[in-house]
Amino acid sequence: MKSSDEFPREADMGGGEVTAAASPISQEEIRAMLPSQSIWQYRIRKIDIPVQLGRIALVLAIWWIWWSETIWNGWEAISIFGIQPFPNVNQVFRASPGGAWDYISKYLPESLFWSDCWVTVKEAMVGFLIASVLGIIAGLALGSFHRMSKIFGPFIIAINAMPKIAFLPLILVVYGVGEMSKVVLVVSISFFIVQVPTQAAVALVNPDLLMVSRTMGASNIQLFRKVTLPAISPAIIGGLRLAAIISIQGAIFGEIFASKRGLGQRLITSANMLDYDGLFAMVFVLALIALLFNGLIGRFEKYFLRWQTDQQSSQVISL
Amino acid sequence: MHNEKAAVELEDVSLIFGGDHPADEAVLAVHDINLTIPTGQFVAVVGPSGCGKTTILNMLAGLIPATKGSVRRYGSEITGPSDDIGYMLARSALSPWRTARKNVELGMEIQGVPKNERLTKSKELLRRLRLEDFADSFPSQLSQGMNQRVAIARTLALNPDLWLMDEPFGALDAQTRLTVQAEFIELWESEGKTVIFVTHDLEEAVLLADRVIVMTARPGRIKSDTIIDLPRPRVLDELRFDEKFKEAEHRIWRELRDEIV
Repeated sequence: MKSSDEFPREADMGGGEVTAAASPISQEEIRAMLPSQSIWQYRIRKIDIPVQLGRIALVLAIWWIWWSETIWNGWEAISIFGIQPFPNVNQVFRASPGGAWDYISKYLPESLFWSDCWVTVKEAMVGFLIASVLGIIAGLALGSFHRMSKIFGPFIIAINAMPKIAFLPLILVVYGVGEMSKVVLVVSISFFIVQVPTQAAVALVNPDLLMVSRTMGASNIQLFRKVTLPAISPAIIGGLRLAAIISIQGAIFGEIFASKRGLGQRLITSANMLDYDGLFAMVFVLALIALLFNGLIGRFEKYFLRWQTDQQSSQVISL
Repeated sequence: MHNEKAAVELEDVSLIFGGDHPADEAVLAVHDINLTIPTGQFVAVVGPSGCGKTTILNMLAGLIPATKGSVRRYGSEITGPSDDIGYMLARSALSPWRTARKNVELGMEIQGVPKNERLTKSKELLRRLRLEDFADSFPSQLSQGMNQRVAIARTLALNPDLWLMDEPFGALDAQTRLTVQAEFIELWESEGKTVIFVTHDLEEAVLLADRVIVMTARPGRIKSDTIIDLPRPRVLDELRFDEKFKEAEHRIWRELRDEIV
């Protein structure tokens, strides 16, 4: 007979030893444990249907609001402190999607249109490249050398605060109405967009990383190449992404103000001739060019920042 | 006078932070430290936070000079960083853009070790720390414990004679810490290098070290210096419950308690 103080058997308590097979489980065995899923289910999940539906809905809404002329008719009943955000637009100034498409299909085959595109792209690209190189060098120098940032800092902040557009008449006098004046305008705007985040990022490099390399005997040049430069690359690429778009805007603005050739010139000519279909067509072409620029930099970013987690990289606004 | 056999020797070392300007408070971080560590000894340093433990490591690593006194390695004064000293921090401080293997190779790259030699060494270290399957993973893809093991491998990659470790396992959760400690002590017992191991975990100090130094609250001075006479190789998960271990830990705890409470 069992005495009352005898311990219950382990099995009754649910304890006891469980012997697990120590042999590694193969990839096939692990896969077999997963709920079965066809490649199509996987692809459909990847496409992310709600996102795609949302995009399609947005395009349709914009299309409808434009095509149906709803946006041109306006809602004059809406008035905020006497300001009507949606006024009725005169028939003369209305542009239709069909009209814009007609404009594009009329001019697309012309070589003059393509040479205008090339002029604008060239101005933006050359300006962007010069601004990037100068901005990165200046940002690195100011971020790395305390004395330098103390000497130049106040001047750079003052110049950055000036509206660059205000200098455009002067730039035109000095560099003429040709492409060079647009390049100068683009450089003067985009330089700061690259320089400011680069300089800030140098100051934010994780001091632990610098310390570890220093204890391993790294020289200043090695610290720069092996720690600082890779550490600030996300900030630089973020600046470049922004600067690329701003560069196109700068080139267009310069062309609208005064120029011989370019898409901005084409745009303002259309507007002056009350050809608003042409204006819209130009805006679309410019948007496409901006997307192209952005896509190129996105490629670049994907390659250089492949060490970032998906979450980190999705914090960067991307298309 | 200088002991040329001593791996590390601190003589009347004091360090003052600040005080450049009359209005700027000068802080005496460590005061009159005298310490001689023979080659191959594993020394743990414990003490309340802010007592200057890390400062001592920084001086030994050649990152900051002592305000007063002399810091020597094998009889010669330390003047700057040196590749025979490995320094490991509490935070793994891995470069997020480098894979585990490339992180291990960082010091060798800095020292200009040829590529195939780097590869052989990093592969061997990763294998010893059971990370060979993760050689091409980035730190963001690895767990904290794995990253800390990568940091150990990186510290050891240049074959340093002196390992300076600043709370290397402090950031790990309790379970992971046990495994990483066990792996580390096994690695150390096979190498027998001089170690100065800063921690605020007294149990860890007594488990791992040959000698435990207790420091006072700021300004940091040496309060007690105890030899831990436990046999090696140590099996940590058994030793933890050993009477001799508990007794040693308790004895040092009484010293430390006055400084913390």
